[in-house]
Amino acid sequence: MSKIPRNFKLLEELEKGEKGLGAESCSYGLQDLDDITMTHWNGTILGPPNSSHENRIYSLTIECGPEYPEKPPIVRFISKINLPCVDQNTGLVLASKFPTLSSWKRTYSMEILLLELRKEMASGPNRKLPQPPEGETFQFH
Amino acid sequence: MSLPKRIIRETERLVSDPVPGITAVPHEDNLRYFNVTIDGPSGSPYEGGKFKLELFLPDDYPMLAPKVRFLTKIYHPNIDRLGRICLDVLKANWSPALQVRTILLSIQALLSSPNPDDPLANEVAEEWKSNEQNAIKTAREWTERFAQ
Amino acid sequence: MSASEFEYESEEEYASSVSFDELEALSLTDSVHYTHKNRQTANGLSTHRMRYKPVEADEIEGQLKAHIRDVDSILQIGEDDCAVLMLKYEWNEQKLLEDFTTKEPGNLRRECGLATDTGVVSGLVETAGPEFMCAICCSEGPVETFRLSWCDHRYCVDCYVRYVRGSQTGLVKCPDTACRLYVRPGELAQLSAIDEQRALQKEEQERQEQRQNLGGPLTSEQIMAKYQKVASESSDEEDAESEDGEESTDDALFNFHERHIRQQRLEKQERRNKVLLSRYWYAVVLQYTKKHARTFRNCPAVDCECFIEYRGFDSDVISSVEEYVAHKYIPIVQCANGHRFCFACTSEDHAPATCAVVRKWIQTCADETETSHWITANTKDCPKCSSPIEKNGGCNHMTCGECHYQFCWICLGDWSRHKNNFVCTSFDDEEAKKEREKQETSRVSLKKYLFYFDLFEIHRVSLKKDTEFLAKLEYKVQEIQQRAKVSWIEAHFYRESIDTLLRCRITLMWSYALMFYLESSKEKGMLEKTQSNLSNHVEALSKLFEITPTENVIKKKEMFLTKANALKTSHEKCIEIFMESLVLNRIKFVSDIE
Repeated sequence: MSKIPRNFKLLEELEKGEKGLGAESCSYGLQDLDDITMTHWNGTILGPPNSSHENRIYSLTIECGPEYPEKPPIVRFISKINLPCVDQNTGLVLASKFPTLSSWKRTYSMEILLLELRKEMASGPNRKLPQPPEGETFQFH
Repeated sequence: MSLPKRIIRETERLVSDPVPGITAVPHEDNLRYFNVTIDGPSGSPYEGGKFKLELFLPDDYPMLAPKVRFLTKIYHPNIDRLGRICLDVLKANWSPALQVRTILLSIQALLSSPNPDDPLANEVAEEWKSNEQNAIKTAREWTERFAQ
Repeated sequence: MSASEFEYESEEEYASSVSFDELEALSLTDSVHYTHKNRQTANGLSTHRMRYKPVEADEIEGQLKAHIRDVDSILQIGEDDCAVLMLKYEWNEQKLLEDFTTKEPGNLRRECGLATDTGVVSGLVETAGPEFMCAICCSEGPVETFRLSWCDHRYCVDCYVRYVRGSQTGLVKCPDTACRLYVRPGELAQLSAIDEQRALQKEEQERQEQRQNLGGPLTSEQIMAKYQKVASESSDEEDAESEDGEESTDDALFNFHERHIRQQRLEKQERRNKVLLSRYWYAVVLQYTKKHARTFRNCPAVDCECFIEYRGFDSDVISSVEEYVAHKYIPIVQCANGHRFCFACTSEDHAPATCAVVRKWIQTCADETETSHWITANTKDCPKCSSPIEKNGGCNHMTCGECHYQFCWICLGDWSRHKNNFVCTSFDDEEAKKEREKQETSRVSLKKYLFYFDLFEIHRVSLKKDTEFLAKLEYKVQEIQQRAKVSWIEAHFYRESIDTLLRCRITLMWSYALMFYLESSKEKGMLEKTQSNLSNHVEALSKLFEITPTENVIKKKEMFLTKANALKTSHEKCIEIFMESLVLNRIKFVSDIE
C-alpha cells in the first residue's frame, strides 16, 4: 500500500462526513470551508445513553497539523465535561490518558477518534461521573 | 512497494517532454504524489496566473483515476472552495488509457471553458449564469490576488 | 479463432438454456411458493398469500439470453449486437423495436456503441511485436494483446482483463476514450477464454517451478503447505473408501447427491468470481433485477446469489406488496439456499413483528448496544450466592457453578417453580420480581422497555450461541454417523431439528419486539400465552440438545423427532395466531408506528 498524502486523506474523511456515511452518534466537519489547508475541524459527540452524558451533545475542536496523519490531531472539548482524559482547565484531551492518541496510527481517522472518546465516556467507571451543568464551556486562551 | 512501470514512464515523459504551461514534479518521499502547476490559459480570466495543484496516484491507478486538487484559490464554477474539481474524466469517464498528462490538459481546458450547468461551487455557478461579466471580473481579480 | 466460430460457441450455450415460454409454463405449475402454508387459518379466517418463486442467477441469465434471442429473431442483427442494444435500452424491448424501425440504422448503432460494420473479423487476440507498448501498463512487446472486432485499440490481455473486471455493469466500453464501442458478449467470451487459459498455464508453471525447487531446502511455510496438502488428500481418500465400500448404494447416492449440490454451489460462486464471462453475465443479471426491482429481490444473506421472483397474490383484494404490508402481513420468503427474509423490507425473517415494528425497534435500540444492556443480557449474578454467571448455551435453565442453585435465566426465579413448565414470559410473578429487584438495585432501573429488550436480547444471544454450539455438534454427529455407518437419511433429522430450533428462536425474538409496542388487552394476553407455549417447546428442544451426549444423538432420534415436530406445530400455530391478531386489527399499538 502506498501512503496516501495528508490532504487527500483529509479530503476522504471530509467526504465521508459530508455524505453522512459514518456513525450517527458522532459528526465532524471543517470549521471553515475556505480553509484550504484543512487544519481546523469541529466535532460533536452524542452522549452515550444510560450514562450521565445521556441526551447531551458535546462540541469539540480538532486540529490536524501538517504532520497529520503521521501524528495525531490536537483534540479539545469546548463543552465542559468531567472525564479523566480531559484537562479540566483547558478541555484538552490528554494523550497520556487516552490510548487512541498515545498509540496513534496513520490509518486512524477523526471519526475513529470521536467514537473512541464516546466509548471512553460510556466505559465502566466514567459512565456515572457527575457532570457540570449542561451548556457550560471550557475557557481557554 | 515498487513503482509500476506505467508511473515511471509517465513521470519520465512529464519531465523530459513537458506540456507547455504545465509542470508536474513528484515528491521525493512519495513518487505517487505530485506538485503541479498550471498556467492560466490565454484568453481566459485566469490568464497570467500560475495555479498550484496537488495530484496523487492511488494504488489502483490506472484502473482508478488520479486524485487532483487546486491548492491556489480560484473562482470557477466547477472548482469548489477547497480546490476540488468536478470533471467527468476524473470520475465516471475515467479510462485507464488516459494519463496524468491528459488529465492536466483537461483541467487546463476546463479553465478555458467553465461549465456552470454542472457546477460544484453553486454560488459561483449562479453568478456565472446570471451575470457572466461580473463573474469573469471576479475570476480575474482572484487570479491577480492569489495566483501570482 | 474467427468471430463466426465463437458465435457458434455462444449459440451452443444459448441452446442449452430453456426458452422463456417454457420457463414461464414450468414455473407456474412447479415451483410457485407461498408466504404461508394455509390460505384458511385453523380458526376459519381466509387470508391472502403472496406467490413467489425462488430463482438462481443462472436461471435469470438463461431467461435473459432467451429474451435477447427472441428480440434478435425480429431485429436480425446478431445476438451479440442485440445484447448490447437491450442493455442500452434497459430491457425495454418495445422502445428498442420502435427506435429500430424509426431511426436511421447507422445512427442507432452509433448511439448505442456498436460498430456500423458487420461481417467476419479475426484476430482479436494477437501477439504483438517488440514495437508494441501497452498504453495501460507500459509493458513492451512481444506480448499477447486483445482488441475489439471493429477498432484497433490494442492493450495487453492482462490489462484488458483487469479493466473489464473493474467494471460493475454489463456495458463496458473500449478503454480508448475516443472509441465508443462496447465490449459485446462474444468478444468477452474470447477474452475470458484466453484469461482462463493463461491462468491454467500460470498454475502449471508454478507447479513446475515447485518441482524444480524440490531439491533445495524448504521454508517452513512450504513445509506446512505440503503437510496440509498431504493431510487433506489422505482424508479425501478415506472418504472415498467408506463411500465405495461399506455404505449401501442408496445412501452412497444420497450422500453423493448432497455433497454434489453443495460443491456445485461453491463452484458456481468461484467460477462467477474467476471467470470473466460469468462475472459479466452476473452483472447483466444484477442490472436486470435492479431495473425490475418490483419483481425481484436479491437474497440479503452474505454471499448468497439467489433471487426471489414475485408472482402476485392469491387474492382479489390485494394487488401490491405495499398494500400487503399495509394490511400488516409479513411476506417472509425463502431463497433456493434456504435463507428466509422479508420480501418487503429485505431484512432477515422478522415474523411476527411487522416491517414497521422492526424499523421502530432498530431505531429504539440503535444506541443501546454499547451500553449496559448487552452486559445485562450476557451476565447475571446467581440469586443465591451472587457469583457472576455468563450464559454459554441457548437454554435458560441455569445451574450456578459455585452453589449449584438452579434458576431461570429470564426471571431469576427458582427453577423448581418452573418444573417442566418453561413459561417465563410473565413479568408479574411476585417471587421472581423480588429476585429481580434485588439484582436490579445495582443495575439500570428495570423499565418495560428493558424487560422486552432483555427478552429480545436473550433470544438473540441464545440464537447466536445455539448456532455456534449446534454447528460444532452437527460436525461431531456427522463423524459419528460415518463411524457408526448410519445412513445419511437416518441422521438427517438432526440437521432439521437444528433448523427448526433456530427458526423458532428468531420468531420468539421478534415476538418480544412486537409485544413491546402492544397495548395491554385480552388479545395481548392470548398472544403471550401462544408465545410462552412456543417458548416451552423451544427450551425443551434446546435442553435436549444440551443434555444428550453426542454419541447418543442417533439413538435418541425418536425424542428429537417428537420434540422438533411439536415445536414445528407450535411455531406454525403461533405464526398463524399472530397473523390473525395483526390482520384483523384485534390488537392496538401503544404508539402510532406506521
